[in-house]
Amino acid sequence: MDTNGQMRALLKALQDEKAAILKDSAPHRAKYEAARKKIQQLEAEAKAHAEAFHAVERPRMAELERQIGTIAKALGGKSLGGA
Amino acid sequence: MATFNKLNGFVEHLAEKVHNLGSDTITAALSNTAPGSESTPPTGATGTNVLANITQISYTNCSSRAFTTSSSAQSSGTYKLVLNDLTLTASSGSVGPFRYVYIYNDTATNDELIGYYDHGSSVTLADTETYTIDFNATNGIIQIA
Repeated sequence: MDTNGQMRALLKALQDEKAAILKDSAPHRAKYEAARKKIQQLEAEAKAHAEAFHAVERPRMAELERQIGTIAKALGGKSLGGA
Repeated sequence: MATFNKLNGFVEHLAEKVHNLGSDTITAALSNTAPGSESTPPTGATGTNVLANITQISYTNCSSRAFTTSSSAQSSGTYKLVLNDLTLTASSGSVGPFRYVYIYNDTATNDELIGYYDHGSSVTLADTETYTIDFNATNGIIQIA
């Protein structure tokens, strides 16, 4: 067999080996994708709840925490910033 | 402000969907044991980067350690997580001693760690005393570019 013929045979063998691996992994990949689909449905529900608690917390909490920290430190409280 | 020390496992966890920093509950854990002195240091392989590997103090007299998130967003390709300051208060007794303030994800399956601060010396809060974890509001706790 000439060099090109040998290379074509090797290419075919490698492609066959790759196809066999993908055939073996396919059922597991399909189950993974199905599981991910279920998670994505729950993620959508979680995201809606997250947006709801963000709407409650974010407008005011940063300023409240800043003031609490400032007063706590003014009263002699310790802080990481004082390290 | 003490320097934030990112734990190496965090970046792999971030890339593999362990964290949703925009909505998960980020929490502080307190320890008086140096990370490198833990029996399984959280500074090692990614799998070690979990709360169970931290020797925590008792929180019986400590107020809530959960942070609230100010913002989680990117600008010009750089992501920034900004947490609100948190003031811990000792009540009905002391808290500590502790020196290391860990930041971890309390929502994640294994309470995966993000990083930690070293206060520089051990701290004990007497009853009614406070300890404020004050973050840089401009730079946030972490940035990812």
